[in-house]
Amino acid sequence: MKDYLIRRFLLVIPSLFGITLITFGMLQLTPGNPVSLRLQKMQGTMGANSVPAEVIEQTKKLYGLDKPIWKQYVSWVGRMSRFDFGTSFKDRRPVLNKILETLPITIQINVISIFLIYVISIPLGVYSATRQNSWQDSTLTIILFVLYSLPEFWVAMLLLYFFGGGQFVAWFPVYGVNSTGADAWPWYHWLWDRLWHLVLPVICLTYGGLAGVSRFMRAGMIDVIRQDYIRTARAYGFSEKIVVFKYAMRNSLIPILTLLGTLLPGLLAGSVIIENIFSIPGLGRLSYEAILSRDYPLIMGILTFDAILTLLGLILSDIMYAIADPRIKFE
Amino acid sequence: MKKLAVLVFLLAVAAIFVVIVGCGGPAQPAAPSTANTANTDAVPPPASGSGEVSSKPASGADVPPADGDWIISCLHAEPKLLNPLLDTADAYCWQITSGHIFESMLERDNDTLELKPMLAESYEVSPDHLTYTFKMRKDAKFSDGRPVTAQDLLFTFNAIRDPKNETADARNYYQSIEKAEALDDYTVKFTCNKPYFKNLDVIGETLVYPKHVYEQGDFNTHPNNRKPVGSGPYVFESWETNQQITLTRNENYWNPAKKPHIVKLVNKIITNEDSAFQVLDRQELDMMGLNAEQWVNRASKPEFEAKFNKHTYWASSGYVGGYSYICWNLRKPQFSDKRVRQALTMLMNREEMLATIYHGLGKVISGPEAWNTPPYNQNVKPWPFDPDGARKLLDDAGWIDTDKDGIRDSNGVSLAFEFMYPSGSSELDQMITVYKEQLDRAGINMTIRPLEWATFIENLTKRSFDAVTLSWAIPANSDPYQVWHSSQTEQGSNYPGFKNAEVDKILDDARTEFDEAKRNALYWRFHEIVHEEQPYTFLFSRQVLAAVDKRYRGVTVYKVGLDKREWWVPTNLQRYK
Repeated sequence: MKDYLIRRFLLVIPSLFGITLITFGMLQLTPGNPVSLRLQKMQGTMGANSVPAEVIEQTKKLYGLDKPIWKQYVSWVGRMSRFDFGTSFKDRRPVLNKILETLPITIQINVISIFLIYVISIPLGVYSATRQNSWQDSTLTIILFVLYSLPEFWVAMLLLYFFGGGQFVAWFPVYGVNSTGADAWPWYHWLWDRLWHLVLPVICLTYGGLAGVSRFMRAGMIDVIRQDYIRTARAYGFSEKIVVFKYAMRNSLIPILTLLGTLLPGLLAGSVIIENIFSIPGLGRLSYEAILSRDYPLIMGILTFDAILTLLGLILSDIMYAIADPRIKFE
Repeated sequence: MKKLAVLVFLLAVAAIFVVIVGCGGPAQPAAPSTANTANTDAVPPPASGSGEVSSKPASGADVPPADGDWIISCLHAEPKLLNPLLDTADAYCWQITSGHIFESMLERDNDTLELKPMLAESYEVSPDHLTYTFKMRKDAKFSDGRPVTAQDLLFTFNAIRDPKNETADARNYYQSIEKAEALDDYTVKFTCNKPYFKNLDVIGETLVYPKHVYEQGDFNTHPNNRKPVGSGPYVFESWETNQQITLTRNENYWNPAKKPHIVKLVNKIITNEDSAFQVLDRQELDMMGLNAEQWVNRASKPEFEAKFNKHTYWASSGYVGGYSYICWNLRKPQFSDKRVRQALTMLMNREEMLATIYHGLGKVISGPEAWNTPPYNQNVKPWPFDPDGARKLLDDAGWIDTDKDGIRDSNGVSLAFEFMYPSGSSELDQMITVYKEQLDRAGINMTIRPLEWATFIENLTKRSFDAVTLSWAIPANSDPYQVWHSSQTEQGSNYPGFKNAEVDKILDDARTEFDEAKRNALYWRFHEIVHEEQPYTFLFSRQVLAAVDKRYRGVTVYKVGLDKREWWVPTNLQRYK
């Protein structure tokens, strides 16, 4: 187990290297670049004459884009190995600061929503499995799949419209993560304010995830219920409650746990739309804006962060697998 | 102190126009009146009514303007930095800093659009228009109490000119200004290498930065790029990244006569237009620019109109107007004949599109200037919508469907092209689809290609397009040289590749024509030629639609928007402390 983990962690390094190489290459292949965006502004804003060639060269130099691509990549890797993510083209602030500033908010939202997804889906899955193919099961399935297919941005707009004031009730704030001046409040008040701001965004991130996890749970549960030991337990005369919750459910949780690891990076991506609609200063919005403005250092920084999270998520689900199921041994 | 830009490229037709509710700036007594402005105006009009706009318009005889209260407005994107010289096209940065934090030698007068002294006491122009000598006010001070001197002006000038600084876009305006020297502590002489009517604007509107703050360290990464210091009536208070930017009143403002009444300007960053409207409706915003959809629907409900006054005007943030257009690439054989271009214009029902897609909140225009400014030739009427006429023109030009594939052709080239536009605007999507149908019926094949902005720009810069649609925003006293002169077809903004000897001569002559009336006469002729040649199909000038909370007094709609520095709130109506 220990050896296995060490090996897994060491494997992260070449994987990361490969991922960054590919993303760096893809960035270069994407049409549009910061210099032409910047130049366009210069040309769009009219001066006495067209932009002279030396200004273009100066601009490239300022961004370090005058060197060949492989040199740019080598110097990027060199800086990364010293944990120097570089500075953003946009405002010249360190990329790491910008990521660390936005990451906590995105993580808060995602952790709450993952937690809710599991807390709601697991009982639903168990309920469906124990009433397999009944009308309750079908109804639940239909409802969950309808939810799954509702587009996030549309639901977000509806929630804003009906619960965000104006002509309907103003139960929830519609933008940001805190009220103005909340930083000066006592912590419990601040926390309440934060949670209150997160209600609508979290609903948007949660409802779509219910279908997937509850289906997994249902399938796992149905598998387990068919096992001999469940029949044995029933034969012993244990109550249905004990059979389901003590013997069946625990074992069917294993595939669900492993899902956790893969959900992590997925939810980071999912928050781009929601962060935009609710004006939440999170990582999703940051990456969206970085991509639109071809802010290379920032895009690379965020993608590296995402890659690390994904790789760690995968290791995490392996470990949880081993913990949850003693039969699984890593060699 | 206004934007230096002569023409600024706008992201898609919609975005910035709708979004920015301008502050500050040149003015005329009233907006070109539209049905929409009149009925909701509960703000007492200036007593004189004639547009004698002092900094404090009288507002009813007995209530003197009161100090206090805030204005909370919103930004749909965060500005990059609060150093306007580092990005002349960052509209939000300019909106926040220019005239509020930074000031310039001259500013445009509210009544006449003429330049008048601000930080300058007076200025002199040599008869050959090559030297400009500015005498600066001795009483002007930065917000930290240090005097504004010739050294500060020189410092700004040099910062712009320094190739190490990311001021390339600003630098571009200063190409014909050779040097600046301080004659004494309060006198600066600028020398130009050639006469040009814009030189005075460029020099006079240079924002003056405090040398003692910005001189240490690297200008590009200077810490004060996020907390600007200047001489204006407001000072920077705080910037919470991606949340809000706050300015407070400069209590030590050097010009007490122009000290504003509003003590705090809060700019909330709300990225989504629809959520922002929601916030406005809850009265958590005091003003906001609306889009046409919001204007005709939710903002015309009585509950909304009870809380807000609605204003329309034609441009904002230092611009007097703007227009959208379709640009035809004249380098392509399909578009080389002007009759084809005229036909393409006549196949577009612009009046109807304006009415249905933009709810009539704009005007169809015929030429390359802001329609409500003197250089625009009112005698030139837009080409009518006339499909039959268009078909005849195409026949005459030799574009006939010879191979019977349903598409006109000439010399083996079929009349087919790709229409490229920035994605993300449903209004553009609609407009282009309607246009495509019309073209199909006339035997012209158009493929639609929406592109993400950066990719779009790349194609535009490389001139690899058939037809594109975009907008220009136009400030007062603009020079169309870069967009239309034949020297600008490869590197500049002459995207169509338009070359016309008479236009070249007009544009060259206009640059050294210092008599405005004569210059406008030249531009009128220029307008006629461009209308005849149709390198662009000119589309619309759109109105800026703004909602402002009813409690403000002294809200005057000027030709280029609203000036928050003049507003005030009666003590009993003040909402924030």
